[in-house]
Amino acid sequence: MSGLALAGSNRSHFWRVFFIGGLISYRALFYWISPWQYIPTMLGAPLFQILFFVYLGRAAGVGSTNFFVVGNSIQICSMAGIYGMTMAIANERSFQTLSPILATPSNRLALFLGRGLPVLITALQTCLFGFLVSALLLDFRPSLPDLPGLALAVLVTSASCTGFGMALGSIGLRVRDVFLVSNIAYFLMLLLCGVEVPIGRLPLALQAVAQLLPLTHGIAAGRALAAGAGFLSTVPDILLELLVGGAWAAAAYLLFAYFERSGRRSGAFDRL
Amino acid sequence: MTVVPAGTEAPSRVTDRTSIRYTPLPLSSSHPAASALAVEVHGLRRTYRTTTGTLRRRRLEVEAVRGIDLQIARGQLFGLLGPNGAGKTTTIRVLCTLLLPTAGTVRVLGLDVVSEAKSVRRQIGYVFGGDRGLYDRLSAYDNLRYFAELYALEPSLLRRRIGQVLEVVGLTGREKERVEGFSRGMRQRLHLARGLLHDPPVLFFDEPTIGVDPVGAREVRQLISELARAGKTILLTTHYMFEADSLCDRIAVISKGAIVAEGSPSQLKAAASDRTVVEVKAYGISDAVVESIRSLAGVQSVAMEVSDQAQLLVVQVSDADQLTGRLMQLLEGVRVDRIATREPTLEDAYVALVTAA
Ligand SMILES: Nc1ncnc2c1ncn2[C@@H]1O[C@H](COP(=O)(O)OP(=O)(O)OP(=O)(O)O)[C@@H](O)[C@H]1O
Ligand SMILES: [Mg+2]
Repeated sequence: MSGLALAGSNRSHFWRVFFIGGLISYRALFYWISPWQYIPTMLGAPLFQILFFVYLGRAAGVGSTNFFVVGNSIQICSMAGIYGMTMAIANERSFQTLSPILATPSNRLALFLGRGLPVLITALQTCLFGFLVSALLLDFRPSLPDLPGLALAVLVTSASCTGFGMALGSIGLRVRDVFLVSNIAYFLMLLLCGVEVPIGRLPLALQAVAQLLPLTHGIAAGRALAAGAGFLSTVPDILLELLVGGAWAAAAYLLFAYFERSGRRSGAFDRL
Repeated sequence: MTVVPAGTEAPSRVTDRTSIRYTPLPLSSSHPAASALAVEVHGLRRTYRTTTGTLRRRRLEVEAVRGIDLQIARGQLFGLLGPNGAGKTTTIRVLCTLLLPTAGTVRVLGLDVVSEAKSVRRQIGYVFGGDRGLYDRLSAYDNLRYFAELYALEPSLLRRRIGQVLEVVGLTGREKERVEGFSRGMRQRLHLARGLLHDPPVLFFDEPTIGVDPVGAREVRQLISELARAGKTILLTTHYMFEADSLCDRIAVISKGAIVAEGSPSQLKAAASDRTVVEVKAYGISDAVVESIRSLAGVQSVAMEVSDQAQLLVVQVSDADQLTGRLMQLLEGVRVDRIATREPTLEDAYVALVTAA
């Protein structure tokens, strides 16, 4: 029980907390991880959502298959991004594990951001599933040369949704019923981000809001790429999506850091 | 061709090594040797702001700790006793860097808990009572694994160390099970294991035996004295007086946010040695009778415990011979089962202190 060495360098500590810690806390806090939850929630519901909108669009003669498939297949990453990330941070509160965690000297940035990686992978996986079933069942045929670009757009959008979810997670550390906020955010994004309704049809104020939300630019890029517009023309949208996601992630971390400091002042940790 | 990779590789390895060599070890070089005290608390105050009411919000200020001083020497096992809401947990959470003091200075191993919080965190283990604060959906092993990473345990030592702490708390063989299936006592053991992972020199135990069965609680006490023997500094809170009596080198009694007595268990008992305890087991003692006993001259304190239908009246008196007669008069008409006098225990000393405060 004596002379226990601590890990070699700060850098290795950072990455271990980021990767290993992130994965462990994801398993601890992401409620939908069991197959009984995962399959219906993360695969079943998105599948029916895609089918519903594509058939609705076809029946009503509005929008193309491409429009609805790309919009919905990318949008479903926000399931994991928003709900998953909210859980992976805010559920610390329901387990009352925030105190023991914050009593450790661990690197806070790694502790916080590490939770995003498993969520991001989950998000990517749901998008991949969405595109695959669309190709199989709905005759979705994206432009092959732009497929890597489409993959990049999906990756960036999933990451930015995850960053946005982090912000909700941070709020959940302080607010009791953050899942209400997550629900509203999820459906608001479905409405505002050009998933089912072209952004141009929205009132101007809402169009402005959409620019600040994840999904908007990523879906625009994805649609262009699926139609074979060429990667270069979508670079601005991809960068904007990245910027939006990065800004939300940064805000999320700052909020977390702020809550840690103000929590020490107010004594609010682990108070339900 | 081979020069380039070798040349670029070699220096980076060397720097890696030196950085490993300079890694602080919790028990040797890392904590400042300047202070002989493990814990120094000067004039600690802590208030909480809360609000009541949903519509008409009123601000409330709770003074949880009102200016306490504490000094705990290295290697000491220090007990903090006090009634519910006295400010024990508040004090411990300030020491654990989870709460900022409203006023006063607090140092752990010479490190300031506000300005050097991160260094303090490396040196302390925090164990609290109750069954929350664990990841229910993870196994015991993964719970510990997570915290081992957060405490930056050397990866090569990690598995062995987790095995060690599981062994120490007696959870070996159960580590693969999910914590949601753990009993209260098992959860408490896991809390303890987690607090020991990084082998901190200073340990804070906030009611570590709460909800643990008698045999388990005895094991926890054994573990605590084992840790004290290994040279750890321990601050312990408990509501079980015999626990404090048998474990602690020193005890402070805190009541309503202030320290009302401090000393070794025998010193505290000695403070109550000028009195005798009269215990009356009876049925149907009314509150009015209790009040009139309390107002008798020479009565230091009156406490009543109720078990089944029987009442146990514990009266601390300065002169038993003189007061027993008066007591019997007051208890006329009450069915008295047994009346006995005895020497005060630590619990009596404690009751006297906190009822006087
Ligand atoms: N987070 C908080 N917000 C507001 N008030 C608090 C908070 N934590 C504690 N208090 C108040 O501070 C006072 C001291 O509480 P504390 O938890 O330190 O007592 P304690 O001695 O640990 O009691 P117990 O023996 O019941 O655990 C109480 O009046 C309590 O209501
Ligand atoms: Mg307490």
